[in-house]
Amino acid sequence: MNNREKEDYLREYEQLKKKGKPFFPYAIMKDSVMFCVVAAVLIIMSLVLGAEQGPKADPTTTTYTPRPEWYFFFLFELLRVIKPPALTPIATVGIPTICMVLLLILPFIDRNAERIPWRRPIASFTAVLIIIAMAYLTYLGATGGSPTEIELETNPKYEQGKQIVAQSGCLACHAIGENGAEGGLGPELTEIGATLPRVAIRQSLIAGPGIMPSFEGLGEEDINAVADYLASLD
Amino acid sequence: MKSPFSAKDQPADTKAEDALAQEAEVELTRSEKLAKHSKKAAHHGAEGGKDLAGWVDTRTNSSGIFTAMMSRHVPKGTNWFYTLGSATMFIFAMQAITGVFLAMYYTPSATQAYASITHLTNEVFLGEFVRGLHKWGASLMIILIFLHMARTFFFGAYKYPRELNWVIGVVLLVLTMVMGLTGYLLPFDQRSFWATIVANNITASGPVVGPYLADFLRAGPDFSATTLSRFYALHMLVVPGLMAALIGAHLFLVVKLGTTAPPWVRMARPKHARPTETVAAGVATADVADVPVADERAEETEAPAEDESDSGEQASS
Amino acid sequence: MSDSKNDNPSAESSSRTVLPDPEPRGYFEGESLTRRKVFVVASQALGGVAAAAVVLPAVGFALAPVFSRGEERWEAVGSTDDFLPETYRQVVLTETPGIGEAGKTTAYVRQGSAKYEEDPAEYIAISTRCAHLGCPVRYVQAATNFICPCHGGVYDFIGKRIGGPPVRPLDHFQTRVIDGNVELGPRYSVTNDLKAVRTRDPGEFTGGIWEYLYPPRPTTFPPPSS
Repeated sequence: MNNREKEDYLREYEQLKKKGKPFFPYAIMKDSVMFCVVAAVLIIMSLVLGAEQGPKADPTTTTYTPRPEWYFFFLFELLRVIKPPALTPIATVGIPTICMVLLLILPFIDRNAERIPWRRPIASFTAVLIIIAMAYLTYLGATGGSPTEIELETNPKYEQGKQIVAQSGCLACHAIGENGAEGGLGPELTEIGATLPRVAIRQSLIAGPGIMPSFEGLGEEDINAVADYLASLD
Repeated sequence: MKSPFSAKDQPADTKAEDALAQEAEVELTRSEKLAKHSKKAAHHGAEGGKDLAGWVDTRTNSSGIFTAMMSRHVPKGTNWFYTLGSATMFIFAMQAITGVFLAMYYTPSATQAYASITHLTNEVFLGEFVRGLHKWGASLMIILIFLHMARTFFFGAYKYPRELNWVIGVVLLVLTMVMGLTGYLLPFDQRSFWATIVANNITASGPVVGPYLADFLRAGPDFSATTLSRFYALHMLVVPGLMAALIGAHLFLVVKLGTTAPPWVRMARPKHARPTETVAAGVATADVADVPVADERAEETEAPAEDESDSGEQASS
Repeated sequence: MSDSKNDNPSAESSSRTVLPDPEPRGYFEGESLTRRKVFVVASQALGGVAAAAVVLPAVGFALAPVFSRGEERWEAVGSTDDFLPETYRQVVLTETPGIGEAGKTTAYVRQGSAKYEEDPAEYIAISTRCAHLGCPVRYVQAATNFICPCHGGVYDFIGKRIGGPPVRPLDHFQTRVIDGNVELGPRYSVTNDLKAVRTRDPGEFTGGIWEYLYPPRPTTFPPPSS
């Protein structure tokens, strides 16, 4: 924005202001209506949703699955999506800090005099993209279950194998249905039974191909149950 | 003539006259203003020594500020999106009020916090309701602040001359998130505790200063006896104090610079002056824009009244 | 009106370049430059001293815990017979005394196993706090793995990371055996080859170049010498 554009803006703004109405009572009226709406929403939320108290804080737990308040879901999900340990500090402090700094200095980056959103497509497009990304991460964070839980329906006779899969940390690397690490280190297992025979699955569990650890420690019976369950997925 | 709005000696009949009177006031020099003021003061003293507003005004000269704040004009085209900022402030005020009352029942101690919340929620009259207001108020405030920010962004309202106000706004957003985070721990249930542990460790993973900052927040290497009181002090005193101050600065700048008009609301221009609009759009080069600007200035001094009257009908939204 | 406004700045700026500096603001007759300077400096210095006199102790008061270390505590968690080499047993110990439940934590303890070239007379105690961001990991005997429920970290039997975002293996507690009882002492962090280092917070590296981003803290204990 050069000086003339600044002057232009101020001059036009001065005129628009002269054509406008006084703040009191015209703008105040709208504000007050909005206050009432906000207060009503707040009261209804408080009455309907209440203020439930969770179980008491227990630092000795090993079974609790911590989840943040909804407005931190996008950060929470960011931490889950970024898997390689070398990138962990970037997910925890790097990206949030960079985003905040960019947001803070936005008026000094974007010095274009244009203010109409559809005439500054780059800025508007970026903003819409960020909003969609945040909404999507929030959605993922809200729906992402515990990594020890599989929601996929199974035949009850494979229930035991399913439980072992859920409890053994498979979902840290693999995805099964809606659960687990989508795009994680390992391949998706939702339809593994269609591509691999039971024998091959069982062999993989024992040998631990590539970066996958061996699950020999499960014991013969459990390995068979897991292989049965995974082979049933197709 | 007793209300502070009657600073001008005769009530304005029409908006046009009102605007003229404002213009006139702007043109008054400092000394003229002072003289006018003392006259008004004398007037108050003579007529209504018992008039409290007048009494205070003669001693504080506050009606001028009040009038300037209240009767300033908001530009043409101001719509419902412009209520998001004040709605956020309203929620902040609600949070402050409910927070103060919650503090009356709350004990910031690792051993008693949970029990005090149970008592507050289940036994105190309207306890769950007030705690619900505070809890959901936080969510609502975050939503409103983001909507307010989106409005500011898409209307280009962070641009000259309001850059500083955007910066203050972003700091307020961060502080609101900090409020959410520090407030979280206080009920001392599982969710609070583990969220705090994670948040603290996120802080700790910041390079170089992170570990020390986390130690400062926890008052030690692990969750300690005074961690809760630290979060309480931050949530109750430090952050809200900062926020109140910054909201004051934010509002001051809003009053001083005025709220923006939606960017698509424009004053109609004489036809030959159109190119300036495209200049503003950043399309035309500076050379092209040079001539029309000069033209426009001349135009304006000649017939500003005409220019305004027809545009007003065209673009009232 | 706007016309005159627009013309003024340029007129002013041009006059500024020509004319010498005007007298300082608030100048009064008989004021000398040195006198003014003395007062400027003195008023700022005195204000600064007064503010520092109050603020510095208050800040020091708030910062003190960052520089002090608690007492070294050892706690008996069970007899040597309670712990086996092939599996972990959960024990609860107090890390911060005086705050009841909130000061406790859980550790997984086992006897040293020949399979991992450990001394059977040694006991291994692993912290439940995930090395990613401190969520409570659970030990799954079926897989002989530790799983974190927050962001999906996975560790093997000896606490080394095998999946997910954690930056290092799980922390350990110092152990000793006194009168047939296993005692747990201060927590310490380990490198990827299980070498003991000073306690770090979760999310901080113990190896690679990143390690140097996390300086040692005065609040933590030095690692066991072995």
